[in-house]
Amino acid sequence: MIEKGKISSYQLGKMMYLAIIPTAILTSPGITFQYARQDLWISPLWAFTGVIVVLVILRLHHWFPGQSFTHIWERVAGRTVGRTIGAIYWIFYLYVNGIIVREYGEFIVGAFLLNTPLIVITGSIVLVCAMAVRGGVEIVGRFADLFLPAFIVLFLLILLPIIPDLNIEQMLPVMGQGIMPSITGSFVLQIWFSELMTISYLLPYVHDHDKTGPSIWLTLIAIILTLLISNLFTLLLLGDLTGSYTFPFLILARYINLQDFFTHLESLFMAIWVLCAFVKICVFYYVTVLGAAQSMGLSDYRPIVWPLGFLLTVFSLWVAPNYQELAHAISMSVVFAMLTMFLVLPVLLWFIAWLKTSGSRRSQRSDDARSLRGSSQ
Amino acid sequence: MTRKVDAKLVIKRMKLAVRLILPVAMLTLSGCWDSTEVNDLAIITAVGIDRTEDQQLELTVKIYLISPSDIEGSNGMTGSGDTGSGQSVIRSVKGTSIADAASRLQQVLTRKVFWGQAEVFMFGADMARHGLDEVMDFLTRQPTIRERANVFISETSAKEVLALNPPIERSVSDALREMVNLQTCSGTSLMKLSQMMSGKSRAAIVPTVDIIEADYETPFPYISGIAIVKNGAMIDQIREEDTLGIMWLRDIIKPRKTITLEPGKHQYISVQLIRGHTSLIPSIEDDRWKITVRSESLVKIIENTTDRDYSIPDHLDQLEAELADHINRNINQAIDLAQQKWKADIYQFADVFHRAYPKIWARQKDRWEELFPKVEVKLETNVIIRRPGMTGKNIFKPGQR
Amino acid sequence: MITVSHILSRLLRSGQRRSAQAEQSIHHLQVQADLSEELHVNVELLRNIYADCSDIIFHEFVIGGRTRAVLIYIDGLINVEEIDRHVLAPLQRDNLDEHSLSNIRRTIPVTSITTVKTPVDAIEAISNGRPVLLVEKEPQGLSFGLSEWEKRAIEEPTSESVLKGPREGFIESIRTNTALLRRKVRSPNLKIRMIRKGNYTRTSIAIAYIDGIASPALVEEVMRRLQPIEIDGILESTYIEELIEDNPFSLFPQMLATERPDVAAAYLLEGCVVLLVDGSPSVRIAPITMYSLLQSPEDYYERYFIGSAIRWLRYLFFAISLLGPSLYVAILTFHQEMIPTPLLLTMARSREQIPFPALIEALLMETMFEALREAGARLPKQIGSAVSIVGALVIGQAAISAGIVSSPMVMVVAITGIASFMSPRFNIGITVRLLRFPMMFLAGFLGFLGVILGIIIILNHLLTLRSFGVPYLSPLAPMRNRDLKDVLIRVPTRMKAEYPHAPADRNHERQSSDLWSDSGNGDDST
Repeated sequence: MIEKGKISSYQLGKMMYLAIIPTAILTSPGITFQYARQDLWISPLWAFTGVIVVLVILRLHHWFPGQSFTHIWERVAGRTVGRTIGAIYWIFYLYVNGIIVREYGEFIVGAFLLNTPLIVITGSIVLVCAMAVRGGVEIVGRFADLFLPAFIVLFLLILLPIIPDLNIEQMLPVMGQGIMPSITGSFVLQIWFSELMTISYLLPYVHDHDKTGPSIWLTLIAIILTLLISNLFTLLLLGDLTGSYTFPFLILARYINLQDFFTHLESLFMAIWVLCAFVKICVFYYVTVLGAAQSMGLSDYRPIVWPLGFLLTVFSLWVAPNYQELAHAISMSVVFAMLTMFLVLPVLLWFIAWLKTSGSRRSQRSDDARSLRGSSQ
Repeated sequence: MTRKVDAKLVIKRMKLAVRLILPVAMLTLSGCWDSTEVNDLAIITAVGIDRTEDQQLELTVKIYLISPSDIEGSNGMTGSGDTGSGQSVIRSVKGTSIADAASRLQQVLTRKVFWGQAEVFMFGADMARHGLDEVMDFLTRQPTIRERANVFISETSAKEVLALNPPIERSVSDALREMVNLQTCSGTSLMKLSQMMSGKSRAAIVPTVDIIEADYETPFPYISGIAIVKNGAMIDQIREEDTLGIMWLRDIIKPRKTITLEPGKHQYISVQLIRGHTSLIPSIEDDRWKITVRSESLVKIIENTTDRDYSIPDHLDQLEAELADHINRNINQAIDLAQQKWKADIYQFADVFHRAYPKIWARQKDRWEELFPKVEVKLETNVIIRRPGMTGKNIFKPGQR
Repeated sequence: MITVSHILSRLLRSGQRRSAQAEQSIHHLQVQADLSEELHVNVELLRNIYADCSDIIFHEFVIGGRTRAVLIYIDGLINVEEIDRHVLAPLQRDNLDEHSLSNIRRTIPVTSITTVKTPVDAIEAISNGRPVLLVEKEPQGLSFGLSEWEKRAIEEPTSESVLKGPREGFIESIRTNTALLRRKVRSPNLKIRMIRKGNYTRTSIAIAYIDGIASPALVEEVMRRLQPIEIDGILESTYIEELIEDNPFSLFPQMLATERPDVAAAYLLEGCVVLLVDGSPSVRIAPITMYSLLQSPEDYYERYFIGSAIRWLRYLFFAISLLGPSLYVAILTFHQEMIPTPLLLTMARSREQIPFPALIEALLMETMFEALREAGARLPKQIGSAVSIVGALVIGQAAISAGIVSSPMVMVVAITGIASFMSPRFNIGITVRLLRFPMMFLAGFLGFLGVILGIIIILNHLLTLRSFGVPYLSPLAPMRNRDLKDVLIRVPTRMKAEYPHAPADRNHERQSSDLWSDSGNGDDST
C-alpha cells in the first residue's frame, strides 16, 4: 500500500466534518434562502444525498474491506474501466479542489485583503497544505484532531455574543408554504453532503473498522446540526436580507458588539475559515495525490505532492475568470458534475456490485461477498 | 556510519531550510499589499450625504485629526490625556453619485481613507426626500462599512451637523451615538434600515437630528424626532413629542420613558415606564384584516401634584385606566397617521400577516398597498402600576393636611 | 576498549618522541598486555604515559620494610587522609610473612578494592580517582575506592525553584545524582545502567528507568542510539541530547532537562528514561510531549484546582508569548476596524510621531528586549540588576519620549516578555521567543492570515515531530481521551489510577482502583 499511516474512525469523522462545514457555512445560507426563504434552516435536514452516499460507501467497504474506491471499480467492472474511472476521479478531485482553493482566495481577497494578489493567497495555502499532505493521512488526521476544538470554540465565540441581536420572529412562519420550499432549497446543499463520498478513499487507512459506521453517521448528524444552527442564526439576524449578501455568515461575525469593545470580529471568522479551509483543501489534495499515485502505479505518493500542488494552484486560476463566473458555475454545472461523480457513480458501483454478489449468491448459495473478496486479493 | 548519517542530515536540513525560507522569501519579496500604518489613515468617524442644488451629491466626512502640535512630545506617556473637542476636520466633495464622490474623497486627503470606524451616517433632508436607495446600495456593498453604524436624517444639511463640535463628547459621532443609546428614542442601524427598506412593507423610520443653537453655548445636535421613509424616500417627519404611539407600535419603547397626564387643571401626574412591551396579533376573517395591538406596561409614579392619594387601590385603578386611555389615544393617532396620511406600513404589519397567514399573504401580497389602510386595529392596553413611589399622596399640598 | 588503547598508543607515541630511552622499554610492552612482574617496568610505563602530568603522584614506599611498592594517584581526586590511615599505615607497619596481593588485600580495611590487571585498567582507575597500588613481583595491582574530590553541596536548583516541594537539586557528580534518584525510588526495579562516552573525557552516562513500567523497547532504543556515539568529549548533557534526539534540526526540545530529582523520579514513574551525565547537574528525560515542557512540578504539589488554573494560565501566556507582537502588528496594520474607535484614536495618536512602520517597531523592540535579557543573564548579579534598571528606563520611558517607539508597543513587548518567562522550562521559552520573529514577519505581510498560516506551519512541524517514537503533541493529536486529563487539567491524584499511555509499557494501575471505586477510568477508545 502506498500510505503506511493509519487514522482512527473519529479522526476520519473530524476530517470530513471540517472538510464539509467551512464552504457550506459560508455560501449555503445565501443560496438556500433564495428557494427556502425563512425555512432555510430546515433545508439541511433533507440530507438525502448524505444518507445515500454514506450507506452506499459503507456497504461497499463492507464487501471490499481495505480497498480504495478505484480498486473496487477494478474488481467489479474490470481493470480498464477501473483505471479509467480512477484517473477521471483524481482529475475531478483536482478540479474540485481548484474550485475550493479559488473560493478560499476570492473570499479572503474580497472581504479582508482587498489589494493582495489572489495568487499569493492561494499559493500560500497550497504550500502549507502540501507540507501537511507530505506528512500523510496521519498528519492530516491530527490536524483535524487539533482544529475541531478550535473550530467549535471560535464558532461559539461568534454565535453566543450575537444572541441578543437575534429576532426570533424572523423564522416565522415555519413552513408557511408547506414543505416544498425547504426541500428545493436543500438541492444546493446536496453537493456538500455528496462530498462525504471522499471517505471512500480514506477508509482503507482506518484502523478501527468497528467504529467507522457510528463515527460517519455522527459526522453527518453533526454537519446537519451545524448547518441548521448557522443558517438559523443568519436568518434570525438578517431576515429577508439573508439572500442579498454574498457571505451572510460573515455579516454575523461583523455585527457582534459586546460592550462596544468586542466589535467587528470578522477576523475571528477568517480564522475559522482558514483553519477549516486548510483541512478541506488538505483532504481533497491528499485524495488527489493518492488517486494519482494509485492510477499511475507509483510506490510512493510524496514525489508528486509538489507538482500536483503547482497544478492545483494553476487550476484554481483556470476554473473561472472571476468570482461571478465561478458562483454561476457552482450553482449550475458543478452541481451536476459533483452529483454525478459523488452520488451517481458510487450508487452505480454499488448496484453493479450488488448484482454480482447476488448473482454469485444464486449460483453458490453461500457466502457471496467472500468469494468476490477472495478473488480481489 | 556516522558520516552517512551526517550526509542524510545535511540533505534533510537543506530541505527544511528551503521549506521554511521559501514561503518567507516569497512573501517578503513580493511585498505587503494591504498593510497600512494607523498613522497613515484618515479615520472617518461620521459621514454626511447631502444633495446640492445642482443635483449632485455632496459627501462630507468627519475625520479624526491628530495634529502633531497636540502631542506633548517630551511627555509621551501621559500625552493622551486631552481628548477634548476640536480635533476633527471636515472634508467635503461633490460627485454625480456617491461612489463618484467617495473616489474623489481621496484626492482631498493626504491619508488613506478608512471607512471601518464610521459609526454615524447622516443624510440631509433634501437627499432623504429625493431617495435613499442609491446611497444605501453603496453603503451595504462596501466590505469595510459597519452594518451596525447608526443612520440619521438631519433636518438641516448633514454637513452643518457634522461641522459641529459638541463640547462633551470627543466628536459629533460619539455624541449622536450616545444620545441614541441613552435616549428614549431608538436608533436605526444601517442593517435595520436596509431590512426595513427592502422588507415586505418597504417603509422605515429613521431618527432625525436638529441643531440647538443656544446663546450660552456652542451649538450642538440633538435627536429631534422621527422621519418616515417609504419606498426609499422620506415622506414626512414628526417631532419627538408625537412619537410615543409609533414607539409603542414598533415595540421599541424604552424604560425610563415618562408619561405625564393632566387629570385636573394644572394638576399633573407623571409616571415612568419600568418595562413596556407590545405584541401585534393578526387575524383575517372573511377578507377583513385585523390587528390586535396588545400592550403591557409596568410603570412607577414619579410625580404627583394632584389631590389623589395613590396608596388607595381605587385611585391606582383609576390612574391605570387613564394611562391606558392616554396610550390608546397615542397609538390610534399613530395608526391614523400611517394608514391615512402616509399610507406607509412603518409598523411592519405586512410581516405580521405574513407570519401568521403565509398562504393568504402569498396570494394577496401584491394588494398590500391598498389593503394596509383598511386594516382594522383593535387595542388591548394594559397598564400596571408597580411602584406608587415612597409616598402615597402629595404631602406638601396644603389641602391634603 | 579499543578507544582507550587508541589513545594510549597515541600518548605513547608522543612519549616516544620525547625520550628515546622510554621508546626502548615501551616497544616491548603492549598496554593491552598484563602488567609486568617487574615493578620498575610498570612504573616506567605509567610514568611515560603520565609524562608532564604534574598532578600525578607516584608514591614509592616499602611494605613491611621488605617489599617495594608504589601507590599511584591523582592529587586532588583522592582522600589523602583515608589513604594514609587505611592503606599506608597498615602496610608499612605490617607483619605479614608473605606480601602477596591477597594478603595485602586482607590487611587493608577498605570496602571497595578491585584488582588491576593491565595498564589500561590502571589508567582507568587512576583517572577516576581510585589510587592504584603496584607491588614488587606482582603482575597485578589493586585499586581502592577512596576517591574524593571537591563538589558542590546539594542545593536548590536556581533555574527551577518552587515555593512548595523538595528543594534538593542534582549536582555535578553522577554518583550523588544516582543516589538522589535512588533515595526517591527505592525499589530494586529502578535500574541504572552505566556507560562511558567521550574519547578524552571518558564521561559516565547513567541510563535510569524503572523495570516493569518503562517499555523495554524504549530502553533498547535509548541504548541503541547511545551506542554509536563517537565524540571527543561530553561536557554537558546537551551533547548527548543533540546526538540522540529524533530531529536534530527542530527548534523544539525533544528531551526534558531538569535539575530536580523529584521531577526525574516523577517521569521515571510514568515510564520515561532518565539520562544522567557526569559533570552536569541537568539530567535529560525522554520521551516527552509538548505539554511536559509547560508543566511545573508545583502543579502537583498544589491543590488540583490551583494546579489546573495555573496550568491554563501558563497555556494562555504561552500562546501570548508566541503570538503577542504578531497579533498586535496584524491588528494595527491590517485589521484596524477590530479596534474599538476610542482605542484606535488613542493608538493613532501615540503612533503619530513614530518614524517606523509597526512591524519594524516591533522587531526593534523585541530585539532590544532579547539583548537586554541576554546581557542581564550573563552578567554578575550586581551588574545584571543595573543593566535591567537601565534597560527598563531606556526602553520604557526614554524611547517613548524620544519618539522611537509608541507606548502600546512597549506594553505589548513587556507583556510578551513576561509571558515568555512564564514557561517553566527555559528551553521552550527561548524556542518560542525565536519563533515569534518569523511570526511577526508573516503578520506584517498578510495580517491575521499570515499569523494563521504561521501557526499551521508550526503545528505541521510539531505534528510530525516525535520524541523517541511518541508523537510530540499527543495526547491531543492524535487524540487519546484517557490521557487528556493530565494535560487539559491537573486531575486529583486519586483519579490518576493509570499510567499515561504514551511512554509506559503496559497499562498498570498506579494505585489500587478498589480504593477509589469512582476513580475516573476515562473511556478506553485508545
